[in-house]
Amino acid sequence: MVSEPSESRRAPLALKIVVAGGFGVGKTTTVGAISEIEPLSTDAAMTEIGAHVDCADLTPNKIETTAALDFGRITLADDLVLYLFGTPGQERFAFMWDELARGAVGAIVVVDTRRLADSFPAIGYFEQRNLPFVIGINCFDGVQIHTEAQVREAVAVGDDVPIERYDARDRSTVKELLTVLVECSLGRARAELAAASGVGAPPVSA
Amino acid sequence: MTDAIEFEPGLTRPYVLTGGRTLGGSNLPLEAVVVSERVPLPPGAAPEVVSIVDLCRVPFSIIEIATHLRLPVGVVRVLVGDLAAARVLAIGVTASSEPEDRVQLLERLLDGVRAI
Repeated sequence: MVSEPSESRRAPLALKIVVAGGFGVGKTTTVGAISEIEPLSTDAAMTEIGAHVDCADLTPNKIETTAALDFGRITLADDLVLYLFGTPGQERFAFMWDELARGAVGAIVVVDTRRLADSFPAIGYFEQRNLPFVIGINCFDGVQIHTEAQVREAVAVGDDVPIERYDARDRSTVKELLTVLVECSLGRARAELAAASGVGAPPVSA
Repeated sequence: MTDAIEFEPGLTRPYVLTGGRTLGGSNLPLEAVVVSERVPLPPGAAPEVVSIVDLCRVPFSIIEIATHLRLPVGVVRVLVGDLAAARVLAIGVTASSEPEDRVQLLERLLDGVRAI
């Protein structure tokens, strides 16, 4: 060993991305498609959960309910780990959203175009928090009822919010969505840095 | 999955363990990664403390510790905070709010995500 006698083993740096959206829209599937671990659920460890009520009737294939929040992990380097947190869908878990949004790189809002309004609370929340986010249109079984332009109009977000079609089960499209989000966050951070130092921001593309 | 009707084990004990404190380490983000230092535990350490230190021989985040050990997140934060103060655990860095750090971090993240 050549290291300093009492040198601490370095714990990796951790970043997180929030995956939000209505109930049964594909948040857990999205996390699971790219996580290196099976998405874990905190069960009741995070909060006291009583009777669990969710409106699952519109999504007949959804059997299991996400109890509180679930998460996945992607180790990007020895010293860099990315966590993905699926938000609990219910209004009454709103307090947990602040916890999740704190320090987050950004958020993915998963939408099902058959139930666009389910995404409004999440979109409103991230706008209000000024957290960068992208909208991922989860194309169930390759079906897309509305175009990106129609979705943009319906959810009333600015052009700075990327809207992408993807398949929550498909790792490569989830990766693409993550990339778009990180580019978006990086662009924002560079603009803030430039504003702080009084110079123009360079473009994001590598 | 556990059965619906089941007594939650240790529902009270973890908070006894922290002496009722809920503030220490309370700012630790859920994603903060913790790793055990190679130092001996104080004698008489509580089983939960021993479990955390054992688990974190490989790095785990606060949320993962809570999930694996079935402990409330608040309790894990307090215990990890104490263990870090005692230098038994090291806590990794999480996102900075300084614009310059943030840009560098996000550049690294972008490279990492593209390479997945």
